[in-house]
Amino acid sequence: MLKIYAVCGHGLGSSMMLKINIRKVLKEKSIEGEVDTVSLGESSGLDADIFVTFPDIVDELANRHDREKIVVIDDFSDLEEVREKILGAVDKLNLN
Amino acid sequence: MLLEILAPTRIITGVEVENWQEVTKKAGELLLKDELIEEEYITAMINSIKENGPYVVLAQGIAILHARPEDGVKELGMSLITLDPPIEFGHQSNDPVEVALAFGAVDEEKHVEAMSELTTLLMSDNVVEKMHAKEDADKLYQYITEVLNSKEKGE
Repeated sequence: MLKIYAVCGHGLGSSMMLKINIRKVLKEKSIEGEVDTVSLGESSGLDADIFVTFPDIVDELANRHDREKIVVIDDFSDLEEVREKILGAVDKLNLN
Repeated sequence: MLLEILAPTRIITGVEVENWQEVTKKAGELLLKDELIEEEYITAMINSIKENGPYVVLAQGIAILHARPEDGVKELGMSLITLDPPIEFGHQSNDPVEVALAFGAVDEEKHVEAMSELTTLLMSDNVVEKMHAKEDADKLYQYITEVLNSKEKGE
């Protein structure tokens, strides 16, 4: 099953709000997937199909995970942006 | 839940400060005043932005400030300030910040429902503009109450 992590500095606030909206866009398209939150530090030992994060975090995250798997969201409340980027990443996975 | 952890006494409108550090301090002081955090938590929130960057400006004009439970949280709580003038945090696309929220979580679970409601609030139409236009804490709290109640009814 599709596995997604929403990543932020603490894994408590920002990533949680991001997770809610990722789940929303997956549900719209009836895409089955598990979405969880994690802090940047704790993400090191984990694997997923997609890691979703914010602009400042992306470089650190790319040191720990394949850049190809990382999606960057500028405005978590912009559902249009979340939809486009998440569904784009899911499509890319399905092609591979 | 959000309405329970955010009291009107922890809301200030039209806060005038110079920079993002002062925004964080001001929002943190509202939590400190109600003994929800230790003073060190305010420093931890500032350091968190220094370490991780201004991504805490999660949406256009809105900053969500927090650190970790072990940084000095006594009780789950939230504060909210609106800024006049708006303040730059250094975010690449969501600056300047007009509304700042600070919270202290006690663990990974107890604030989940409040975060969900906060997401609902922040996704309502023109929310930053509307929150910023409220002239006092009671009116702003009332506005948040109305948004959450109308969403609950599925309007």
